[in-house]
Amino acid sequence: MILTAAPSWSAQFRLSRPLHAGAWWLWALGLAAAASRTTNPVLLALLIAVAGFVVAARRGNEPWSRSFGAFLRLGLIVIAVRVVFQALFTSQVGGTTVLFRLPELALPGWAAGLKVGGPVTAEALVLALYDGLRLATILACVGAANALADARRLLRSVPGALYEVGVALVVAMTFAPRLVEDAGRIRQAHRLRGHEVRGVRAVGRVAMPVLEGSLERSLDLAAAMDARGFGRAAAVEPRFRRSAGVLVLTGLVGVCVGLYGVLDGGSAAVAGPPVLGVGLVLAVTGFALGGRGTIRTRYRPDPWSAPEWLVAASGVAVAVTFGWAAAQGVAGMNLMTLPLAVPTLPLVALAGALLGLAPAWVAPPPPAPAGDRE
Amino acid sequence: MRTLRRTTLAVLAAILLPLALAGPANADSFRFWGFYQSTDDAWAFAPVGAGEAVPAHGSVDGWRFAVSDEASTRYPRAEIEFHEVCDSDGAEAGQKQVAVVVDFGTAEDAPDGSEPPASFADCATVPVDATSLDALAAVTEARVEGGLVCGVGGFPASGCGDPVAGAAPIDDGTSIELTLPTSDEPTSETTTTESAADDDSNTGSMIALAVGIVAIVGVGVAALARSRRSQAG
Repeated sequence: MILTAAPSWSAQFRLSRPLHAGAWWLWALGLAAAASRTTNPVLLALLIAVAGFVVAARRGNEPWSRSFGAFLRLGLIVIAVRVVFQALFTSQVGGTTVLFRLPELALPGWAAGLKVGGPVTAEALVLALYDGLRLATILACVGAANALADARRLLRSVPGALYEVGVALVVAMTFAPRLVEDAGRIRQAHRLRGHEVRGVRAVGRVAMPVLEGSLERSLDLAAAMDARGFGRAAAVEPRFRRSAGVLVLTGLVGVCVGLYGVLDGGSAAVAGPPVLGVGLVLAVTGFALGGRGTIRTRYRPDPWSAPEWLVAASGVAVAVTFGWAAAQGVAGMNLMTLPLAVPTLPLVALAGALLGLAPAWVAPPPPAPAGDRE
Repeated sequence: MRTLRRTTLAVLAAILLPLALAGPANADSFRFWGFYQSTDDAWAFAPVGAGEAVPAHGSVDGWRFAVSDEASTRYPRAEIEFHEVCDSDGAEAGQKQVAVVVDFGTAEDAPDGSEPPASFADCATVPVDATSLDALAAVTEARVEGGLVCGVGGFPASGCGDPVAGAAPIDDGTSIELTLPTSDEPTSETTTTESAADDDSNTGSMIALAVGIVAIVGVGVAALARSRRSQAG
């Protein structure tokens, strides 16, 4: 008889396994909600650095793990577009430090409030930079969740009531790379036959065979799934299913509205956490009721244990800290002021942002790539 | 199953109806900063927004923080003349002087029952083509979000045009005392004491800013080092 010691409580933080995808998304949404509550560039840059550190520490070796850099570049483009638009269409920000003057286009009276060209002030550009940086930070948080969490594992956690939707999404995600391969293959075949058609006509020539191929493939897959028993539903009364459907829909709408209220700093307080809570309750009830109609087994579901709770809690803690500081009007949270001043840094928000670093140590290390496992 | 359906609908109704009723049906008034211009010693709505209006030399701009709805217009509670606030000899070439009146409103207008600061009037010396928003920024701090003036002089600290349940209170027409800019000798004394206090808070905020920048650089460098290590290893 071999006796092994029970794994200690701290072993679950060291044993390498992929963290539940929902925990990563909760942490990232917490950081994004915190970013939407402030325009202080120092705090926003700190949030981006925190997200980048956690990505560097805990990303796996899948193809999407390197996508954080792409989201950062997208954020830079967003900032540049925002600043250029502010310079071209100077809105009513005012400011007295004129940097340069663009040729002004006189607009008729009904377009009052919109100016094309005109003097470009430093205050307007700096305020546009703060706004663009806030958008870029939210993008970086979403990019961090994208790099850390496997989207297919997230689909595995889809509740039974949305099972058909989940299956359709998984099939679409599996077939999407095949579409790109097909398009390349067809274009090469055209070129071998000597038809080099560029531009809009090429799209039509390539699209038809690709669509045909994907339709054939999906029909084959549907026949194979049907032969294996997918799509059979339990004997449930239609009224029961309808109530569950109504609850799920209302719940999802409530969750969307609540998420918007939490992420948007300017909306009314009633649209935030309360609506999110109510939406979650309705959705969970609907899922519980509707799930009874779907018969399926789950193969090795991802565990939700202490590391997941701690990672999600750190994201919520960052959001709550920033939200409290913004609601109290702590100096330095909202910098859209004239005249411009050097930004002050509220230490409460600084400590809150550093809380977001917790997943770098609390989340278990990602599993090593298949070739390294001995 | 019928009882289940009934309980489901009852739960839905119990949760959604109070939300629907307590929503914007009651929010008839809004709490915001209104911008007015003084013509012939009476306050009137400005025809264009503060970011577009270019006041002439010698004009008087007014700002009033109040809870208003569509039916009420609540002007600044005092009327002053330009010469009471600005000495018109002070304007140089290429500059103009505009008197700015800032009325922070009554205690009913203030959010969360906080005490509004003392209302004041000051003289703004700004370039000739400056807008009313620039004149306001020259005398006090203005918080602008999305083209709207949300806070003046740090009041209120957060929020912008928040809805308020119920009808707006009405002014009873009494004027208030405005704090006018004082003459030169006392202000120089107050500015020296103020600058000493400002220096202390400035060093404090500089330290906090330095800590923040060090934190960003530290975390960023650590992230880059971690990613290089995972790429190499």
